[in-house]
Amino acid sequence: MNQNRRRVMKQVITLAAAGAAGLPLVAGAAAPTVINYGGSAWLGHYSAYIAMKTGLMTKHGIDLRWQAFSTSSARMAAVMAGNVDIAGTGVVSALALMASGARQFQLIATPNNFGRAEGLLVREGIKELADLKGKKIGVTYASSAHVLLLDVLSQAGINPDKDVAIINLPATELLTAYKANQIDAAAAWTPTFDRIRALPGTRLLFDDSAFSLYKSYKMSPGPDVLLTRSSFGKDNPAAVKAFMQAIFEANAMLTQKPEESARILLELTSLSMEEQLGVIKQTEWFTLADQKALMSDPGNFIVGLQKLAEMLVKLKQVDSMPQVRQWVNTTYL
Amino acid sequence: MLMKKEWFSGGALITLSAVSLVAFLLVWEGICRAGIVDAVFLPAPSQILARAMRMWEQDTLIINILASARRVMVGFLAAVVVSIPLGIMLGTSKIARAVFDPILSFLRPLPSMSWIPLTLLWFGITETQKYSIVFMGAVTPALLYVIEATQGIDPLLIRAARNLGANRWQVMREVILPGCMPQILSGMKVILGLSWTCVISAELVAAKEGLGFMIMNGKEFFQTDTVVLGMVLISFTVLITDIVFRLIQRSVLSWQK
Amino acid sequence: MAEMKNPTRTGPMIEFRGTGKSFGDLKVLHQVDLQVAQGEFLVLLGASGCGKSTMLNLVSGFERASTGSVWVNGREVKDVDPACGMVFQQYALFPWKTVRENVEFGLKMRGVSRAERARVAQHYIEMVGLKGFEDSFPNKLSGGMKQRVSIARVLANDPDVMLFDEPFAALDAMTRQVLQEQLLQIYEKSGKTIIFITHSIDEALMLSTRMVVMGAKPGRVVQDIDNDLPHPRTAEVQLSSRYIELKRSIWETVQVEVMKGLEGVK
Repeated sequence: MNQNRRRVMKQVITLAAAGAAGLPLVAGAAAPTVINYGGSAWLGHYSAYIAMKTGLMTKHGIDLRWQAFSTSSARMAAVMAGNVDIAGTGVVSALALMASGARQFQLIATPNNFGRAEGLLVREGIKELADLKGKKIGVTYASSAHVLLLDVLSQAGINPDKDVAIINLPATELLTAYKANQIDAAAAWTPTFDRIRALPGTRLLFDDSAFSLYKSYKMSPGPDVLLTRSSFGKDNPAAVKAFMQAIFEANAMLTQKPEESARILLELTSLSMEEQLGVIKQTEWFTLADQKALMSDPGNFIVGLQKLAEMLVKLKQVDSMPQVRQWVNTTYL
Repeated sequence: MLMKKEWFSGGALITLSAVSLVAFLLVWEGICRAGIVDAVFLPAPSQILARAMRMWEQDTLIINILASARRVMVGFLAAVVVSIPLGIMLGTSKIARAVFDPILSFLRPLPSMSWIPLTLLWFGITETQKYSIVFMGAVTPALLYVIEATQGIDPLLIRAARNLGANRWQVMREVILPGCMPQILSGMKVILGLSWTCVISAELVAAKEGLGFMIMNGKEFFQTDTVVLGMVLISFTVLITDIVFRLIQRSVLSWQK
Repeated sequence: MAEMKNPTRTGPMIEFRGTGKSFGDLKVLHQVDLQVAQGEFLVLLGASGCGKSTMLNLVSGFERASTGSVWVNGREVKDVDPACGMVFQQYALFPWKTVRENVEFGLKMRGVSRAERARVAQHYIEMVGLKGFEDSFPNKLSGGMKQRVSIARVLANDPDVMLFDEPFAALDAMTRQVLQEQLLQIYEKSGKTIIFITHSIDEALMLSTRMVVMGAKPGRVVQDIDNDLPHPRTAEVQLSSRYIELKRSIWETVQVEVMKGLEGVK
C-alpha cells in the first residue's frame, strides 16, 4: 500500500517537475504520434495488425489508425492525397506510380515473403492451361494476381486479349462472381483465395510458384512492401522508426507464436483457424536485421523489384521502367 | 449602338470561342510543363494527345469508343422503342396511367448504377447486362417525357381527328405520335446524354473494354492521361451525337414555324 | 337548286327530340325540339352561353344528351360519327401534314387507297381554290386559306351533315366575304345539310335558308324563321326591305335575350 502511494507520489513529482521544466518532455511522454495506416485483410498487413492489437504500437508511442482498402490502387490514391501516412501494399500499384514519376512516397521495408497464398482457381472442367481458352477469368487489375495471370499466360503462349476474357473485379466481388457462375476462373489472393478454394468443384491451377521471377529470384508477382508518404517521413522520422520496430516485433511473434497470432488475426480475415495457421506458417516473416541485406546491401529485393518493373513494361501494364532504387529509403531501419 | 451589334455577329462569336479554347489549352500545357502540378495529378494536353495517338495505333482507342457507343445505342434504342408507344398509351388513358403509376414512381428515382448488382446476377458478365443498365437508366425518364409530350397535344386536333373518322388507335398513331414529335425529340436528346452516363457507370464494374473501362483501368494504373482522355472522348462523342440529333430534328420538324 | 346527292330522305336529316343538356348543375339546353330537313342551311344565332356550340356537339357526338335524344339521318347519335363533319373556328389543321395530307385524312382513316385518296383530295383542294398549295404546310398559309383547307377536309369525307362553329369569326372582313361566297357555291353544288353558328346577323342572312335564334339561361329555341331572300344575295338584296325586315325581327329577339342575360348577371 505504502509503496504504491510512494511510487505514485514519485511519478506526480516527476511530471510536475517536467511540466515546470518545459513542455517537450511532457509531450514526449504523453502524446503518441498518429499514423494513418492503409491496410486490408491481406497477409502483408498481418504485421501491422498484430502490432496494433497487441499494444506494440502504443508501446512505441504510435497511435495507429487503421483504414481498410480493398484495392491497392485505392490505397495508393489515398497516400497520394495525403490521407494515409504509411501503407503496406502489393508493389504493382507503387511501380505504376513510380513509372509516372510520382515522388510522394518512399519504400522503407519489406515485411514478408510469401509463395502460396495467391493463385488461379478454376472450376472442375479446366484441367490445364490450354483449357482456359475462351473462358472468363476474373481478377483485380493492377494487382499481383493480375501480373501472375499475365505472366503465366504469356509463358504458355496464350494471348490475354484474344484467347481469354479477363474481367476486372475487385477482390470483394470475385467471390460473388465466382459463386454466381459469372466467371469460370478467379485469380485471387488470401483471404479471397482461401474462400474460393474452399468452394466445391474448385481447384488450384497454379500459384505464385509458377511465376517466372519466382523460379529465379524467389520473387512473387506482387511482393509486399511498406512505404511511407515522403513528407510524413521527413517530418516524423522518429515515429517511422518506432513504427518499424513495432512491425518487426510483431513479425517475431508471428514466427514464434503462430497460434496466438492466428487467434488475433481471425478477427481481420474471418478465415478458419486451420486456414489462418496455414497462411501464417507458409509465409516467411522477415526480421529487422534481414532488411539491410534485402533493401540495400546487396539489396536482392530491390533487384527483384527492378526485374518486376521490367516485366510490367513487357506486359504493357506500365509505359516506362522506373529506377526503383531511387525510391528506397533505408534511413528508418 | 449599331456598332456594338455588328461587333458581336455570329462569325465573331465563333472566333471568340475558338480563341478561348486555344488559350485554355495553352495555359493548361504551361502549368504542367512548369511542373506546378505533378503529372500524376494533372497530365498535360500534349501528354494526353500522345496517349491518344498511341492507343489509336494499337487500335485500342477505336475498340473502346465503339464498344461504349454500341452499348449506348442498343440500350437507348431499346428504351425509345419501349417508351414511345407505352408513353403515348399512358398519356391518353387515365386507367392505364393509374395502373402503371406506382411502378413508375418506384423506378424513377433509382440511379442506373443501383441496378448493377441485380443485373449482374440476372445476366452475368455479358453485353446484355450492359445494355440493361443503359435501358434501366433511360427508360423511365423517357417514358415521363413522352407522357408529358402527349398531354401537350391540342385536344382540338384530337377532336378533329375523331370527327373525321379516326378510331382510338388511329388517333394515337396519326395525331398524338406526330404531334408529340418535337417534344419527344428534344427529350430524347437529353436521354441520349443520360444513356452515356449510364454506360460509363456500367463499364466501371466488370468490363474489359469501353470508355468507362478505359477510365477505370487508367485509374488502377495511375495513368491519369488515359483517364482524362477517356473523359474528353465521352464529352466529344456526346457533343457529336447532339449535333446529329439537331440535324434530324431540323429535317423531321420542317413543318414547325 | 341544290343537287340531291343522297336518296331523298322522307324524314328530317337532323332531329332534336326533347333534347336537354346539363353539365353538373348548369343547365345548358332545355327541351329543344327541332327538325332540320335535308339540304337546309340552318344558321344558329344567339348570345354566348345559349348552347349553340352544345347543339353542334350533340349532333357530332362529342357530347351526349342528358335528356331526350338527337337523331341524324334516321339513326340516334351515340358516338362521334364522320357523317357529321365539323369545321372549327381555330381550323384544327394537323400542322405536320401538308394540305393534301390534311384533306386526305378522313379517307385515309377509312382505308381508301393512296391513288384514290389523292384524286379525291385534289378535287376538293381545287374546289376551294387552293390549287398549287397541295404540298404546303399549314404554317405557310393565311387564316383564310387554312379555313378553306379545313372545309375541303370535311368535304372530302363526304359527310351527310356539315357543322360550322363560327368558322369565319377569326378572319378579316374581306376574307370573310370571299369565303362566304365560296361556301354558298359549295353548298349549292353539293346539297349538304348544314348547321352554321354565327354571332353576325348579316352573315346569317347571307348564308341561311333558315335561322334559329337561341336564348340563354337555359338554352332554348326562341325564334325560328325561314329565310326567303332570293339568290344570289347581292348588294341590292342586302339593301332590300325584306332583308331589313328580317334583320329587325331577329335583332329585337336577340336584344331581348341579351337584356335578360345581363339582368341575370346583375
